[in-house]
Amino acid sequence: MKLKSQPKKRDLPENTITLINVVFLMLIFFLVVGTVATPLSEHILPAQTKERPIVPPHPNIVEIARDGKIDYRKEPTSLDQLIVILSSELEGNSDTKPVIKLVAHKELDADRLIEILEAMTSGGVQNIRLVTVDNGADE
Amino acid sequence: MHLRKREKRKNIIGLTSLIDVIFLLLLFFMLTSTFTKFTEFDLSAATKGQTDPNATKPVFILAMENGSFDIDGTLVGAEDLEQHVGDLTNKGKKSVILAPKDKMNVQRIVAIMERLQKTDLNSVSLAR
Repeated sequence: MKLKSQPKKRDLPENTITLINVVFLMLIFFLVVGTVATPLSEHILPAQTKERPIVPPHPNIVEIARDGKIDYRKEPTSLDQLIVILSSELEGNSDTKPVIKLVAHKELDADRLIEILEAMTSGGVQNIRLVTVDNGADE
Repeated sequence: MHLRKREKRKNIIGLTSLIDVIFLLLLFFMLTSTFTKFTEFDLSAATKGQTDPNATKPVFILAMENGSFDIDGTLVGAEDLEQHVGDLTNKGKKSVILAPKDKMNVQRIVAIMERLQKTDLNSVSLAR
């Protein structure tokens, strides 16, 4: 009786296991290192800091472009509208301390930023924070 | 004749689909991750209005174009800011109002605020 050698089962290509290992490592790397968040608009370059503690990104950010125009949730807004929107949002929010985050282009005129800030404060918006970017290693 | 050997160790079930899923996850995280390190500052505007009579009067710092500062009327060089503010905090002053005297961009204000944050001040507000 001739025993034909067992028909070879079609195997996965040889290096599949290594491939999976590498892909798994990359996956874990991105899981650990990256944070998932909506990115800032590309035309906004936030001011840079050197030694401030790192904070996680925030979903709703008021963006102030270089020319002083305001975007909230990617939609252009005037200062008055913004205050109305923010105060109605704050009223609906039961959080003890809701925080409003601003991000301003680094070459924006500081007077404009302070003007917006003053308008927001007198409009009853509290806890405003300015988002900046860490630049620690440079220089 | 016993042909026991026929049974081959079966491959792990669904290895291909596993790889598919892992690849998808990998792609997702690669595309959505942000690596920007954000930092932040508390912002408050110095506005007119109710003042707490018990509160100590804040220090007024004017930032000038050439980098020097006017701290409550005293002219202070660019490098001496921390030292001066340190002296003031030792005297019990804990809050500061920072105002740009000339046209200045946000980056410079942020740089000054970062320097002020390193002192013992409790609050830095902005004014025009």
